[in-house]
Amino acid sequence: MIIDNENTNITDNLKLIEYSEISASFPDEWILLANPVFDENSEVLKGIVLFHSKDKREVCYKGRDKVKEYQKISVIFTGQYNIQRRVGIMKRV
Amino acid sequence: MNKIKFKRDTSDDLIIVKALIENKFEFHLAVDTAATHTTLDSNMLYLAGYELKDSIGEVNIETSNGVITVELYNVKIFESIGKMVKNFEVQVYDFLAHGITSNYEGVLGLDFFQNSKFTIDLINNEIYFNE
Repeated sequence: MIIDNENTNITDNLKLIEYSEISASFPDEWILLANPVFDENSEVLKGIVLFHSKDKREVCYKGRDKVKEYQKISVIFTGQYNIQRRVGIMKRV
Repeated sequence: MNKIKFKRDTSDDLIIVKALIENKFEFHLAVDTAATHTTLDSNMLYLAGYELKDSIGEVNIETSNGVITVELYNVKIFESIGKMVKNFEVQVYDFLAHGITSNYEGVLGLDFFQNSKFTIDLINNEIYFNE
């Protein structure tokens, strides 16, 4: 069972969900994931969905109260990122 | 010597590695050898339980978009590519406010690799790291 955002109580029904099911249920959304399992390339395989939103900030702020019971927490995105070239200089001045 | 693998399918892709804060919160960071210091998204740090009042100062940094001011925080336990650092100072700013919604929540800068030897293998997509 995947949690409904309206039902914020942690229940015994929460369990590890395969990423394919998560992405199908919440396409193009940010997902607050508990106890995520990653492959060796850091690609998520499964996890417990605690919260989901189109807004990443909402996931971080509303999700903070939902993470206490879990050993590991991560945030993933189920959509496609824009591929673009980047220049990343960051130097203290 | 630690060895970690990363996924990088095209030349447009960054080197993304996992980082762990407080042994609990898993971030994805871009390895950035053009960054002097490790920098994290403030939204994710908030998720990890940090507050604005936890800031220990601020500093100006030069970026490809100009000079910006970032906050400084001490992360109690920071771990990435097999290395763990206690009370690790990180730079923090709001990635989302700056329009950054990519597949990483910060950059792993040169300060993390200080006094160490590391090799990036773009043929096999691996990082070798020796403290």
